[in-house]
Amino acid sequence: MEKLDFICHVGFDELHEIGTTLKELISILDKNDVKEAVLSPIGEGWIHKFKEQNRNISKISIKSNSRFIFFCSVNPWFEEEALNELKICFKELGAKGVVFNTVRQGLYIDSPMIFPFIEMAELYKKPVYFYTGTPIYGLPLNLANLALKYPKVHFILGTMGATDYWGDVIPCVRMANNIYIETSLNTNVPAVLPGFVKEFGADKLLFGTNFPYSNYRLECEKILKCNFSREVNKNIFSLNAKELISLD
Amino acid sequence: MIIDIHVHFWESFMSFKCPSIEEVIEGIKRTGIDISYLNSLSGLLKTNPSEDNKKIFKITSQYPQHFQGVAVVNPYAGEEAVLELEKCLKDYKFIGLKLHPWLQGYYASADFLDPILDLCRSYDVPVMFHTGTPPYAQVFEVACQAKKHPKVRFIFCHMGLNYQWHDALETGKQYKNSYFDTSGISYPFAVERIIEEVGAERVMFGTDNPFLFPEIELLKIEDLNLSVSEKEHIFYKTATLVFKQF
Ligand SMILES: [Zn+2]
Repeated sequence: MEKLDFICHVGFDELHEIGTTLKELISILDKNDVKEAVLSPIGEGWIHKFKEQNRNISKISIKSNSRFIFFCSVNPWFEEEALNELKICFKELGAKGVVFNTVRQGLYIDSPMIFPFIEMAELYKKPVYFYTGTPIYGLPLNLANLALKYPKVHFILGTMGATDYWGDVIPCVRMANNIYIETSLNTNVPAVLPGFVKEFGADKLLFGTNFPYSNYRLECEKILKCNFSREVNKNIFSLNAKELISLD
Repeated sequence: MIIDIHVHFWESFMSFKCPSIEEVIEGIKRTGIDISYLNSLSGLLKTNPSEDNKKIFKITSQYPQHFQGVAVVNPYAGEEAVLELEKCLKDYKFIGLKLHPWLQGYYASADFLDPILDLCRSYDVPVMFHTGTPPYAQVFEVACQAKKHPKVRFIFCHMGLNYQWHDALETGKQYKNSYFDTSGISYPFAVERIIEEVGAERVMFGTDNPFLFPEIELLKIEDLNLSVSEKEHIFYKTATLVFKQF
């Protein structure tokens, strides 16, 4: 089945001592029938090297004939400089969305520091991805609180609250229906996905891998193991993402 | 040969329904697992898990070819918990204890676990701790117990999950009585790293079946860059030694 990976990376994360090259990524995408992939910064790219990584990924995306979809990162602690960068990414560098890793950046997901960035995303009609699942700075329900304040923005609850905030995934969407769920890195699939699909349908689920943190076989197989219909799988593996990304 | 040290059964656990034991066995067979070490997930949440342990005993007696039992107790019950554990180890011949500081709500480093851990030492059985979910189930909290009880074998389930795998690596290097199971953690690179630096003779295959998909947990290990001898340790040799099942 054709796939769109909603989040993967090139480069190296010093903290977890893991990384990959573009060449390796492309060969793995080819092997796994991944036609398109959202590419976004990694490691220091979330923190202080966002400009450098944004430009690099923007170039990769252009060169790839839009096989790679560029999602930028900016760090709210850099205030005006970061806000300006976000504008440049949306306006000039072709970013289709923005990723925040607030755990690595050191702020609450719903901190007022982040509001101007969400307002910018709203202005440019771009989805906003948050890493979730690590206390205290990456809690799913703080994302729900933020999503309630910006009902017109599409938020992505990244990694489905991995690891042990899986229990907050369904409550988040009950709180705010402008939240999408990205499935990478969470193994608690049986406890979340079947119930989720039953309650909300499959339109809000986005397949992702977070490669190189995880691998394609695991991330694909765990969705297939749910035995959803072919139609549901198609939605999860690519259609939902395509619709979300082309909203503008 | 594959031993899965981390399998649950429950009648009711929050709103999650457990598949029937026959369905669990189907999954075990499909995955190619020979023996599963079974504990009661619902029992972890009871003031008195006596019925839950008994249920596990029934299952292990009915299907000895598939299961060995692992006890659960509620440490808050004090002396009653010690008696329940003794019954499991002596009468039911269970081969270990599972504690879940997150679900059960205590710091994993708590001193009130001493009588329970002392009993595990007397019976020479290992203790499995859920790890990787702050604030109650941090790897370094369990490491405090490993230091305090050097003769008890501690199994750090999930290797501290994605955010505390590094603590697991540090603990593995420091405490020879620390062991790790591979379930739940979704960073394959971290599992590989712990095997490489701590050693496959301290790592055991686990799935968290049926709470997680056993096939996916098996894929995770099969995909790692490991030698045949390392895989043998992870899939059965380490468990055989740690749980004294030879
Ligand atoms: Zn478990």
